[in-house]
Order: sequence, then C-alpha cells, then structure tokens
Amino acid sequence: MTDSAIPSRQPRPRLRRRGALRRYLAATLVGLAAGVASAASVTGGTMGDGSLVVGRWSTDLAIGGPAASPWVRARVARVGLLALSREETVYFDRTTDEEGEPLRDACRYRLAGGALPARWWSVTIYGADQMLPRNPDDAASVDATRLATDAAGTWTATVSTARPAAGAWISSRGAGTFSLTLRLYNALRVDAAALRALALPTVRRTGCAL
Amino acid sequence: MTGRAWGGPLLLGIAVAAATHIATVTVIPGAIMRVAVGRIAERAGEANRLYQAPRPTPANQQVVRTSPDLAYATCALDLATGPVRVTVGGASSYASVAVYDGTTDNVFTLNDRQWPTDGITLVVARTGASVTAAPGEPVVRLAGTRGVVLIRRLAPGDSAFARAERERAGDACAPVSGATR
Repeated sequence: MTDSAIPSRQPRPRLRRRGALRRYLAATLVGLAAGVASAASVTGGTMGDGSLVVGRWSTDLAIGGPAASPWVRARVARVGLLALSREETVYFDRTTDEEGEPLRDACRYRLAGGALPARWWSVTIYGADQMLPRNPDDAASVDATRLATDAAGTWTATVSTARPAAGAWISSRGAGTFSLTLRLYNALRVDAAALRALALPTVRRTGCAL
Repeated sequence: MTGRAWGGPLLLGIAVAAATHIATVTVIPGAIMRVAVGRIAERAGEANRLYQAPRPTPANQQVVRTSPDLAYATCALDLATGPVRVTVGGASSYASVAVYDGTTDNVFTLNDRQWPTDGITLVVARTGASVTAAPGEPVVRLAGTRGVVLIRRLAPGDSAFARAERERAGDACAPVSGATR
C-alpha cells in the first residue's frame, strides 16, 4: 500500500494555489475600493473641516495656500474650488445650530451677530451638494451692505423656507440638510489667535415642522 | 490555517488601500481643475479669453459654493502658446483678480486697494518663459501650462451687479501679442 492510495484531506497543490490567488485578488479589490472611498470621505464635507474652530464655525487656514496638505487641497477642489487664500478671504463654515443639531430645512433659525472686522462679509446657504439651494427666492445670502443693525450694533436674519413678515431672510427652501458659509473679505487680521477671538454670528433654532 | 491563509492578502489589501488613498487624494485637484478649465474655456469660446458670468443664481451656478453677492469673470489659461495679459478696470467697491495654478493653488491675488484707481494689468506666464511686461506690471509665473484667472467684483443685489457690469466692461484676458518664449 502506497501513500497515494491513502485518501488525503489536504487540497491538491493546484487548488491551493487557485484559492490563494482568489484571496489576493479579493484583497486587492477591497483595498482599491477602500482607498477610493476613504479618499472621497476625508475630502468631502465643507471647506472648514480644519483645525480652527470658533463656536460652531470652523475654517482651515491653509485653504488656497501653498502650505495646504494634499488632503486640504483635494477637499478645497471638491467643495470650494477657486477659493482665495486667507490673506484675501477667510471662509468659515458650519453645519450645525448652537446646540449642535444639523441645520435642516424643516427648521427655522435666527441668525444674529454684530459688526465683523473685515472690509466686507456675507453669510450664504449651501445644500449638501455644496450648491446654492435650487429655489427662485433670490435670498441665498445676507451681507454687510444690506443688513440693518440696531442701536447696539446687532443684526439679525431668519433662515427658513418661507419669507418672514419682516427682516432679512435666507431661504432654506429645498436646501435639505444645509451648511452656512461666512466669508470675511480683507479681514483686518488673519492670524489664528485673532480669528479664534472673533465673535461670529450665532444660529439658534426657533422651531421645526413636525 | 484560515488565519494564516488570509495574513498575506490582508497585508496586501492594507497596502493597496493606503496607496490608492494617497493616489486618489493627489490626483483629485488636478483632475477637477482640468475639468474646470475646460468648462471655463468652453463658456468663453476658447482659452485665454475672459468670460463674464451673469449674476449667480441657483439656476446658472457652475461651480460649488458660488457667492450670489459677487460678479465673477473667468479666464481659462493655456500658456502653451505663450504668456497671457489680464486687464482689470477700476472699481468703486471691492474687486480682486486671482490666479490659480493647475492644482488649484491660489498663487496670486491683488485687490482694488492694491492697484491704481483706473485698474491694473498683469501678465501670466509659464516658469522660464520670456516675457515683455510694462514697467511695474506684475508677472505671475505658473509651473504648468494650465490655470485659471478669476476676477471678483462686489455685487450684492441687482443694482450693485449693474454697477459692477459697467465697471468690468473693459476687463480682458488675451495672449500677449509678440511675446517670445
């Protein structure tokens, strides 16, 4: 009786090689998918997914500059193409209200703030696709030239799907889950300490549809 | 046996994921800029020509995060055939001219407070290209042949946009005539 006559539990070498090849092929495909998916994930979101946070607003001081990491550069290309460097414009983004809840068009918000140390500034709404909400309201932003301030120098605006009876308005009609971008053009100071000290506008939820 | 059989593939998968992640992140800016330059040239009719966009609205927005309060003018740069001169007229409120390279870096910006009241011209050229610029005229160098010029003028509202349109009537982007490379 020879060894070959004994039934073996081991797969034959050819089958073993085929199994190993399949495992390496599967790992390569999963690796490719994971690499693309993780790159898409970390370069999405908003431009302000960076290190400098002021309240619920955030920015990345490397935007537009040569010091930007490949990740910042890729994120700006996807969600803020042709942004200016901070010496010209600082972009702050937020996706949540003062309580940390996501901004959404089912709710109504009160946006309030004071004068900002910049030559010109504005607050603009963008949908999750980073585009202006597709509605005909012509009310996607408020800016320093059009907002009235009270005796204390405070201004307010409503963010909602329907035009308020009075006051400044940002229309969130059709915005879904949205973000707000604060642009500071020619800010008086753009170093991190000065930007962290800014009193940026607040966004308080005043009600939601059921 | 099963664990040992998957050890090698697992390491390969991690290495492929890391390499793909880095390659994708590195490629994104150039790829997006290539598309943007193509679209801008298409709207202008050709590269190295200024396209003055209408007032941004949800219906006509072309790129992400457009500001509805600005009047934009764009010029797709193709420096393969030589330098390009950009002309920006005077402005009664905020205006700026910015140059972006092929990887989206904002390599140059100047605003109306930094140029004479009647405006400014600048030349954009490839690194190493010979340029004939006027005295004091800024020369912006790009490492590649591709880029974008973006002129912004403050225009919040219809009347402000009408004013910006009047002021930008003389803005231009054109190949430098007689330039040597």
